Amino acid sequence: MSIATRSILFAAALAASAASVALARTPFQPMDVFQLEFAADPQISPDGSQVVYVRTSMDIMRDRPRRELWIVNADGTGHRRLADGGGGARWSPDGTRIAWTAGGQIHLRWMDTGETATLTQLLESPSGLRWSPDGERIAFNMLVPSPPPQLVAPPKPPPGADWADPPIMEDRFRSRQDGVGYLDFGYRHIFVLSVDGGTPTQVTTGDFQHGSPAAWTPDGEQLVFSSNRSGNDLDYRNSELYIVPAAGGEIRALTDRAGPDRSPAVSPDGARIAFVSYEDLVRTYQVSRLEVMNLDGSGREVVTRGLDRSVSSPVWSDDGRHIYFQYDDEGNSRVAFTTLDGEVEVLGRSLGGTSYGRPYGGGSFSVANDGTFAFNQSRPDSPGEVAVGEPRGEVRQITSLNADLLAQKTLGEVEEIWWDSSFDGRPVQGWIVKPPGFDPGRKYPLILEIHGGPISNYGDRFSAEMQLMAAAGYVVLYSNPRGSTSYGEEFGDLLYRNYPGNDYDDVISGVDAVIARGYVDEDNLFVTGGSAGGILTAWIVGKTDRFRAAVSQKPVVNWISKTLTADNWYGYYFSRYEGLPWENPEPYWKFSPLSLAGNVTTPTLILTGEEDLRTPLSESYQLFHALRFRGIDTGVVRLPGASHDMSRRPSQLIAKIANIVAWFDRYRTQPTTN
Amino acid sequence: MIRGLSASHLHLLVSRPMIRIASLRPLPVIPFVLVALAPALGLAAQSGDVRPFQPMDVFELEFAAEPRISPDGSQVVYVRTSMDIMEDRHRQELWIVNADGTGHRRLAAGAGPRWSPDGSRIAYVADGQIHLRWMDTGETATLTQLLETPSGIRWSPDGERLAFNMLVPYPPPQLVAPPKPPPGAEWADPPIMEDRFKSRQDGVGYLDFGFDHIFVVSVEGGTPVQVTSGDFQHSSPAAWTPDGEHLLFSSNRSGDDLDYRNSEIYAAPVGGGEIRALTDRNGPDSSPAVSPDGDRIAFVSAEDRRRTYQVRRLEVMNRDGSDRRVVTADLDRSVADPVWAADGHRIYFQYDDEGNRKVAFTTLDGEIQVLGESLGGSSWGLPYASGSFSVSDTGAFAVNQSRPDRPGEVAVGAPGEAVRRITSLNEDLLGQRTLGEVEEIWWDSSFDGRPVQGWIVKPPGFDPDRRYPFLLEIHGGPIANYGDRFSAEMQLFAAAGYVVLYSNPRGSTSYGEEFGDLLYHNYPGNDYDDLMSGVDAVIARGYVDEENLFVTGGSAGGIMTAWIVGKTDRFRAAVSEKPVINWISKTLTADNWFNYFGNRYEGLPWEDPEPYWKFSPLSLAGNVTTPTMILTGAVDLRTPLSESYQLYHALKFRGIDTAVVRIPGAFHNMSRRPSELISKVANQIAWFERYRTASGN
Repeated sequence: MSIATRSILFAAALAASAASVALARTPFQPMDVFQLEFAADPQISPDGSQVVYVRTSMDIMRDRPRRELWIVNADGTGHRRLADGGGGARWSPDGTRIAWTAGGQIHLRWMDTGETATLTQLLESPSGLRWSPDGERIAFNMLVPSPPPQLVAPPKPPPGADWADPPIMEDRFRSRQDGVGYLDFGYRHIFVLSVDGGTPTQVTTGDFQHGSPAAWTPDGEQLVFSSNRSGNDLDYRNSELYIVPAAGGEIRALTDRAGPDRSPAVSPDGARIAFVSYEDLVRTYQVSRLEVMNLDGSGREVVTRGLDRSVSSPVWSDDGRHIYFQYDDEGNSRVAFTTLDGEVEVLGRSLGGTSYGRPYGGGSFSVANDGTFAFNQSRPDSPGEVAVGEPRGEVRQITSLNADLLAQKTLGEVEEIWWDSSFDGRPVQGWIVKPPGFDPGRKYPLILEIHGGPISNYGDRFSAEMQLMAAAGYVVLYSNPRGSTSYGEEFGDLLYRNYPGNDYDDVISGVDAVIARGYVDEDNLFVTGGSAGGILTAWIVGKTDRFRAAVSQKPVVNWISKTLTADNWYGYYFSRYEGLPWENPEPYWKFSPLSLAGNVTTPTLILTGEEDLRTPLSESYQLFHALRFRGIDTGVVRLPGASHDMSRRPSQLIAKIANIVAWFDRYRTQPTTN
Repeated sequence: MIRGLSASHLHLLVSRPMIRIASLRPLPVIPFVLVALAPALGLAAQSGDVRPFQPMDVFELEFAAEPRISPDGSQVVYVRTSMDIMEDRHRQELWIVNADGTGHRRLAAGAGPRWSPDGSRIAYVADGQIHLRWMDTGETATLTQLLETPSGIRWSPDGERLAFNMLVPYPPPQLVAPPKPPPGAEWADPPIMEDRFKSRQDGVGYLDFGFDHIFVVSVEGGTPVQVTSGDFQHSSPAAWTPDGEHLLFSSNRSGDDLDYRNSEIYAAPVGGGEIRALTDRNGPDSSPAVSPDGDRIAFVSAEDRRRTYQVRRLEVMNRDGSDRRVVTADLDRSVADPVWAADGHRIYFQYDDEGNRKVAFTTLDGEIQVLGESLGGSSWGLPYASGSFSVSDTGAFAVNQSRPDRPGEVAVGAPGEAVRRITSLNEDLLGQRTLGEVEEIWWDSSFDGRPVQGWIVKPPGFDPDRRYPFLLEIHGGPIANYGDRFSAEMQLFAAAGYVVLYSNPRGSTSYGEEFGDLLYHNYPGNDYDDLMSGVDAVIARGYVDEENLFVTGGSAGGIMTAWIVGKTDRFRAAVSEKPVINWISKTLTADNWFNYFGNRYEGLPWEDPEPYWKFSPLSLAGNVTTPTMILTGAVDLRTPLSESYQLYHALKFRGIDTAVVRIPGAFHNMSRRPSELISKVANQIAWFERYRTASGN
């Protein structure tokens, strides 16, 4: 890949130079998490002059992110608050209005006068607002509830009695969702609403989920959407594109290939559809490519054939000659566009910002009629700001939400590093975070921090957690071992039926590479990570005793129970492991960290959200109990009310890191003298 | 010998001829026939007079528990439990009744009553405090202001002090103080750290951090004195020596988590001082009782051979722990709750035999005499063993009793006298109801010809010429027993028109050590065959519609239900209640997770998953074709909901008719709230009805 950018030193320039100067700068402190802000969902106006975005700050009284709609001119002036709450803001095609959702309703704002209206009185929350090309209607998605199943009516309490809640019956294939809980019964459908207000019209029908936003055809007559309307539970990896009259009517499938077909965007002339797709080979990872086909589904062809990266969010340029999209490359999220012949040009880098805890991806972009685009940007020293650019022009950051805080802070320097895996020499990318005031002549304890997924990526993005660990005096290594995305299909699929596999070798080689730099105290190596990172942490302590202590966050410990209890229980059969666990438990067992529990000597803490449905607490307890039985130093820390995402409440992110650091500090020895 | 009893049990056989004959001959002497129902049976064809037990009748049930006879034998205080239809909970009150059944009156809200040695006072627990009542005037006092709930109240011999058990909390572990919220802020609860071997308890939740200790408080009131010390659990009630100088108790003070199956008997000076171990054998030593002369200690014990089931025997040793010997060497049954007779010549105790709990006494030479039968009452949903007894200075005793037609009443008796029931708490309701007849049945297992005991419950108005849908109901444990006891659930199934079979397959208690241990490293095992043979035995009686066989059961019964649908398709539908589906995850997630390694399955699951896997119902999930519903309490910690979901998802993936029903707020015991029991049974029946076909006859 020509777009590789190795060996860039992401020194936080201000922080690095300030480190030795005795300014009133302090390291990033736990309570500073409450001061962080970030920009999300930047929507540029059709004329390219303004950007509406969601500004998220931390409400220290409610211990929750606070979301507000803000607007800023493309030159960075006129930064103002628009409305409380909400998200999903969308400009009307003529730029005169904004629609958004807040409080479970759709709201409209006239941008000239600032008047607002609540367009709906919906009983369920709308999402995926999309303006019709004529600016008179809005399509959206919304749940249509169905009565929960019930075998028999519960006995009837006398008036005023305080009885136990009646039994709850479940008969769905997928019934739970991490971060939500038990799902409401019903199917999501696409609706169309007049912007004059009134009663929405349900466009889709049938007992299928229509949860993805619809795309209008330019004539406003039809909606194109992605859904799985097979009615076959086992077909869950598949989806097709459908077209339906906006007034309702026959729903026609435009695609029929096994595998996801999604994110449709109709060309300005209405003749073609750009979308994202791959043919499902039932692998652990395949690259999603940008495709184009005619409006009737004929003539489909791959556009990004030459780009070995997963693309998403296609948007046609106004002239219909380019398609904008985003993709991750070597831990960096990009916005690019491509000709229909597949000539790709990178337009902006470092998309991100919504993942402020750890350096995952998470940015998005929007495009104005003139080709100007807006996106949110995250850098190791900047949590998430709005930026705008034009094709072949400069990208400018136009907000500075965190300058107030970070001007007072000395952040840990983040340095890119590449090494070769001991297993097969494959190059692996990582980043070293150094304690503020880093002195290469000293020796520091090292934390290996492993990302989740495992099909995902860390990158050169802001991370409150890395900064807090660095501020506590640890050198931190985070990296993208095999299985990570943004390095192409082969690299991402290397864990196919071999996970945890040689990603172990990759991260251990990374530890050796950092040790080779001479500033790591080899007697004080620590390891942690969440989800897949928690799995690999638990796997590591079963394979080596070189780490002094470990914190496995929200791990899977037993693939048999995980793949039958998690919200996404079914998502592993054949693609991750061979066969079905009840027929062929062997592969599920041999890749379970529990199978190595008898080897562990490393003090290992497990830390998990109490309401986690992705890697349920029952997984954590299996490792805790095995180690406890064996008399190994262990503990399990549960975060009350937390789902798989343990950073929804800032205090929990702070407490989580404090517990991890405290566990390491308990076992950390004084560094040996140099 | 029949059913594995050796010749040395002849005294036992003689002591209970009625049951022995009952199991060998047909109806007339079987006490389980509900005599009151005879007219109803005759009227089966014109069923207008049949008024079966109704779901909402569950709220009308009452039962007696903890009967405590006064030292002079003239009165019984007991806990009367009724169902509060507004609160949907059990209501517990202390009632008193004269030994002749007169003078039945309410005393107070509370439980755990104990008579003072002179019979002038009663101590009991209510609202987390110890209360005293003077029986002559009825005045009461609250003796304590404790921060934790006391239990196991025991009067000192001089009637001036009370020993009890209570938690002494310690601060929960914490790696680091959580960040501090500003005043008035609503932050998420801080992280909770856990580092204990056993940290959860079904029915409770996460356990408080702390150790139970034994305390003594003066009945004049005042500050309790902590008698035991050390970071060990002292949760069992203490026994006073007659001189009031020492307390004896059972505890595990080894400090070794892995020694969890062991306990010893200790003696502690009441005034504080060195705690001395009186036993040192590997295995439980429990329930100490000091002889009236203070010279000997009766207790219950077994030498742990790491089996699935071993019989616990009554032993006696000297006060200093020397000269221990087994008293019930010839009784191949587990005994419990030894109480010395006032003259010190005999020891009262209780045990289960063929699904029936007895109170008996024995000489120190092991000559046993059964004194009363059918103890029970507090297990009213399903016919599990329960029941207890107490003994007066005169040798008269009180028990609570359960029969298939009566949930739990107080009865009194004395050696050489017939046992008399002295309450009738349920006559008002059940006098108006036609209950399902309960008939004992024995059959031989197809596996090895071993005799198996069961009970058939017939629909009210049963007509032997008709064909009924059939329900196999399997008990939990599996080391437990069903018996000839009242069961609201069985009655509701029968009232819905089902013939129900419940039974005690191998692994059940009350048939001796060998039978109870047959599941060792083989569970689910041939208990499957025992049950299938039972189904065949009932079918052979000619009134079962073979096209409409159903199966259900809870806990071990839910495990076996899930196992059965993996082995046979003869059942039309199944409801597996609160099952274990995967022994690897169960033995690492349940509140009692550690309790299976070695004794139930070979090895440790993380070292050798094979035995844990091959006995997991999940391993058979690929065979299932039977529509199978799973029904579990949402907060069950014994067989967590995560087990239920494993079967549900496997069947769902395979396209088998399935559902999971969770009961909000319910632990492993799904009958704590009466509406939950009603709903549970209604869901089971509705699932069966969905698949039940028109009777073939």
